[in-house]
This record gives sequence, C-alpha cells and structure tokens, in this order.
Amino acid sequence: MMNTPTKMTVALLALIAMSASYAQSDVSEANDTADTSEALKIAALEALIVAPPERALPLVTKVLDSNNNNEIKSRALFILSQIDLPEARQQLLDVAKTGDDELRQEAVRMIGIGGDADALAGLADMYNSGDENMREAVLEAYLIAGDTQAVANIAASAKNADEFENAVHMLGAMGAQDELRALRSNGVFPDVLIEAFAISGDLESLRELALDGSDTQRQANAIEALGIVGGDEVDQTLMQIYQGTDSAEIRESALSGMLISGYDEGVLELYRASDDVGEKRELLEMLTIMDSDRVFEVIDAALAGDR
Amino acid sequence: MRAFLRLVVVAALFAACIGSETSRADFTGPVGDGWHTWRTESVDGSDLEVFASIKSGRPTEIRIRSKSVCWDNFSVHAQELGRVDTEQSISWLQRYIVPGSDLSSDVLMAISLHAGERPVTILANILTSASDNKLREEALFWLAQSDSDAAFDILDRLLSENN
Repeated sequence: MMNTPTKMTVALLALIAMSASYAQSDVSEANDTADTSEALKIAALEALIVAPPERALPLVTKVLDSNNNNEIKSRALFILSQIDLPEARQQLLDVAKTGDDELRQEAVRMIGIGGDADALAGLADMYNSGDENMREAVLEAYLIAGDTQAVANIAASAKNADEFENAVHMLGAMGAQDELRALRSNGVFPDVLIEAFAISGDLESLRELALDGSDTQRQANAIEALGIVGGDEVDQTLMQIYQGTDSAEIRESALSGMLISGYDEGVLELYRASDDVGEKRELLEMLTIMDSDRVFEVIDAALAGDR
Repeated sequence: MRAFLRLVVVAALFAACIGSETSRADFTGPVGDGWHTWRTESVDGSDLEVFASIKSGRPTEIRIRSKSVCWDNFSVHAQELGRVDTEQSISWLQRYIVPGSDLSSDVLMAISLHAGERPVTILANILTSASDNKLREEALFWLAQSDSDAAFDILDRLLSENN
C-alpha cells in the first residue's frame, strides 16, 4: 500500500505525463481550438451589432482593452462604429489617436464608415500629423463617408505634389466635379486634374480643355482623357477635333481618345474619308489594335476593289 | 327554473371564455400534414404566434408572428391549436434543433422569441456544447438580440476568454 506522499508523487507524475502526452498528441488540435475560440469571439462581436447599444458598448470596450489580437480588435472597432452613442464615437477617436498603428488606421476607416460629422472633422489633425499610412487611412475614411469637401481641403493645402495627387485622385473617384473645378480655378493646374476630371466624368471641363489650344500638351492630354469618359457626345467631339486640326499631335491624341472610348465606327469613317495612304495605314492599324470587326469591312472592300 | 337555466348558460360561456385563455399544458405538438398554429407568450410581452408546417410528422417550416416580428406576405390557412404553455412550446421546438439542418435557424429564432429565461439557457447550451459552428454562431446572434442579463453575461465571458 502506498502512503500519502507516494500517492501524491504518483498522481503528480501521472498528471505531468498526461500533460506532456496532450501537448505532444496534436498541436493542430490546439490550433483548431484557438481558431474556433477566435471565430466565436468574432461571431460574438458581430452579433453585438443587433444588441442594444448600451449593452454592446461595455463589451466592445472590454475587447479593445484586452490582449486580443488585432483581427478581433478590428472587428470590435467596426461594431464600435455602428454604436450610435457619443461615448462610442469618442472611443473610436481615442483609438484613432493613440496606440497600435494598425488599429489607429482601422479606427480612422471606421470613423469613415460611421460617418459622424464631428468625428470626421477630427481626422484633419490626424492627417496633418500622421505618416503616409495614416494619411491614406484618413483619405479612405473621407472616401467612405463621401466627404468631398474634406478631401478638397487636403488637396488645396497639400504640402507636396504626391499629397495633392492622392487627394485629387480621390476626388476623381468620388465624382467630386465641383471640388475639382474649384481646384482648377486656384490657378495651379497640374495634369493630374485632367485624369481626375475624366474619372469623375466631367465632360464639360474636359471638352473645354480639349478645345483650348493655348497649351498643346495639356490639350492633347485632355483629348485622350475624353476617351475615358466615353459616350456619343465624346465620340462626336473627338471626330470634330480630329477633322478640324492640322496638328499631328492633336490628331494622334484624338485617335487615342477614340481607341480608349472604343469608337471604331469613327475610325472606320475616317479611314474611308481619307485619301492619304499614310493616314489610311495608321487608321487601319488603329482598327486592328482595337480588335475591331470593322477591319474585315475594310479588307472585304479592298478585296472587292481588287476584283 | 328559467333563471337557473340562464345562470347555467352564463356559467358555461364564462368557462369557455376562461378556458380559451388558459394555456394548454398537455401540448404534444402539431399532428397531421399542413400548417398548424398556436399562441404563447412572447419575450416582448405580446402574443407570440408560432406556425409550423408539418409533413410526415415532422416540421418542414417554422414561422413566427408577434408584435415585433412579422413576415411579409405570410398568410396560410393553419389549424388553430389554441394557447400553449411557453415551456411546452419551447420543448416541442427544441426537438428540431439539428446540426446542419436549415430548419434549425428558424427554430432558434422561434425559441429565442419566447418569454422567460429558458431560451437563453438553450442558446447558451448550444453555444457551449454544439459541434456545429454555424449553429453556435446563430445562438450567439439570438443571445445578443435578447435584452437579458444572463445572455450578456455569457457574451461577456466569451469575449473575455484568453485564446
């Protein structure tokens, strides 16, 4: 019979052996458990979106203050952005201001999703004091919130060309035609605005530039950009420009515009109207590049002519 | 004699009236193919109407109607089973929480809308013991929907766990 200390020792040894065996038995099982636990936490957080805000906020706060990983905390930030309480908005701003960079940027994006005007206004300081990633996050937040004026302010006060370009591209993606026009009227006129006009679909501004011959390079860029906007009106404008100019550069731009807009009908029309062999070759090449079936119309006509 | 008869009729009517509002404690669930419906108490204090479509003795669809839940365009001719005790209604529904079954989602919803603490207990059990993660996630969803302290204690514990 074993005495008590011996029993204890045996029990301890058995426990140690069991632990060792468990630890060695299946590492992936432990990983699976961790994955399941994490998945459940994420599901629990997502479920909080339907919970009463007063109930959800303390739980979300607890998760953000815990040592959970950033994936879980990011989900918590999303739930926080959906809680319609001033404390939740303040907390989101607090996370955006201090702590882990990844979470700060995520909090900024969530402020964009939340769309609260006061919180969005608070992002301007973060943009000015933040690094490149933070500035990108702030721009994304404004994009998500559709705050075109805030992006226009960033563009107008940009400290360098990159900053200006990023903000202007964002305005283009947001379709902020008025804000882009306002930037144009500031006097400074980089080419990036032409791209943004095109992306925002501002046909009027582009046409004005495309017909303005005071700066050939800018005019050529605007003509090509018209192709991005596309449509019947653009096609007609490109035809007019092509037929009305003596400049080879402008004609080439008009042709590029037609290529971009996919106006093969116009290219074929120009081909048929031309008597210039060189020009005809160039237009035929363009139709080929456009992978247009109209090339076959040209070939058939040529073959018929031969016969 | 006439007064006595009148009294009997009134008593019978009163008894019928009371009887119609008394929950059935002997509820064993709907029998026979087709839609059946019964009323019980909802978590929001209103009447909860449970609709079950039965085929070959098993439910194929569950629908719920209450003050806070309504199904657009849901209108069926259902056999009326009267008022049923909440516990009985839950017990019948609970039988059809089956992992991997599409019906389970509707059953969980229906259970969670019943009055009392038992729905939270059932959801908590699913959360801790079900092997089907989809079912567990749905249990979480309905726990978060409830405004019960017990439910939020469970969520709190889950979110406070260390990985």
